[in-house]
Amino acid sequence: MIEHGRISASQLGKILYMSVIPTSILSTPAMTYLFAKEDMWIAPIWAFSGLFTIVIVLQLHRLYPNENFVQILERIGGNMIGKLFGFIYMFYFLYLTGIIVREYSEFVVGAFLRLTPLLIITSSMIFVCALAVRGGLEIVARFTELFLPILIVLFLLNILPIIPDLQVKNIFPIMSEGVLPSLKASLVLQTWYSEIIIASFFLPFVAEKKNIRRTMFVSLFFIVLTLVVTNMAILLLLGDLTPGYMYPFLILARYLNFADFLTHLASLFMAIWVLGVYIKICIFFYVTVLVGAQWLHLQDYRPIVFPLALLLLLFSLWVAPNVQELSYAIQTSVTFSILTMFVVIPTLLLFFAWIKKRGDLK
Amino acid sequence: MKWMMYILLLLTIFGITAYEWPRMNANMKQEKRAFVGFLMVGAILGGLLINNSNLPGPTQLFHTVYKPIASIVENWETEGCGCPQ
Repeated sequence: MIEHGRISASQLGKILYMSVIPTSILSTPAMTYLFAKEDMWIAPIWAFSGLFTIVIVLQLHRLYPNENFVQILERIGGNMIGKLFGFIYMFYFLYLTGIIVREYSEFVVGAFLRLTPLLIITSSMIFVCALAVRGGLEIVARFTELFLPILIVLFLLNILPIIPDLQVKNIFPIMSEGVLPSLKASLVLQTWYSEIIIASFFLPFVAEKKNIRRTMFVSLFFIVLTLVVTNMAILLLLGDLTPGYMYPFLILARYLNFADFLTHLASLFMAIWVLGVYIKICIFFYVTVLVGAQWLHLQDYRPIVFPLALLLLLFSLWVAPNVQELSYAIQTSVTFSILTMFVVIPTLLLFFAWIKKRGDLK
Repeated sequence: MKWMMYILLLLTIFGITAYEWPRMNANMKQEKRAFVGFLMVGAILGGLLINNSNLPGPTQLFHTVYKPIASIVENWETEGCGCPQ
């Protein structure tokens, strides 16, 4: 086996949480408001693709306990189709990680370090992530475990102090146009929910398999809860000003003011963002490297970490020429490509896996 | 400016090789091949991107593939982000 590290079920849950939350609290509020208006806090509840993905991952794991879904693809599809899909998935994960890196660096440049070149921010982040990924699965898992409590504390420090200033009237009318606007808004969120498919790459390395089902659903519940709280807080504070901001959650952080004494707490939010996104990039880059190494049947994935890091850097510059086109792409083509790659193809795979298992039994 | 980026790219590739190559032993043939392959793809892509930063990429591919469905979603938007395309 290529990876010798083992993780616990609770670490898996934390990895799932950290692979969805960091970028979604930043990018999705503005996108969901476009479609749902006052119902934007309802949109995260429609986590269809999240539930669906968890069920598929668990079923595939039951059929092939020691393999992730790209390996199962190769097993079922045969050598040719397996190799083709192995390449497509490696390319796609590289592309997706590139988008995450780009979102991070565009945010840092746009909101804080205005004069720093994009390349410096991107390459320093990728370098640190590559070092962590080269350290192996257990390093990534422990980083997740270490940073998750800090992230949650900082998140609550951003939300709790503004509670007195929230205006409940902003929430009304609830569902004035029925359920449809919030459903439409949830489409872009499915991008983030379907990222739960990465559980498939970590499940073979989980040491105790008793609690995985519960852990994954609990993790999804907390993801939904965090997004609902975020959207609710933004809606109640900003109301119909929300679409005016690219990063509404940042406005929340800038709004914080303790008795005119502690101000400029946006740096707190910056800390959340950098910690969270660091973990998220590590997780996705780890999956990229793993898929790449399995595609070429390598014994060790460490030699290809740095070459792939260079490719990741190039992909992050390649995905879009500027931040507007990036967020346009996320709302349209990236959403559909992610649904195809992470929901439709795994579903078809599960279907074929079922047929194959039945054939084997007879 | 461009020539500096080329030199930076070459230095990066050289640095990665200098760090990683001694850490692979003689019987890691497949790993060495993969390492060289990925670095070469990186060098070519890097060279192309430095030369033309608007190189059409995967995003344009996905835009073309998903255009029919994406146009439905765009009609939902009452006020778009005012992006081109």
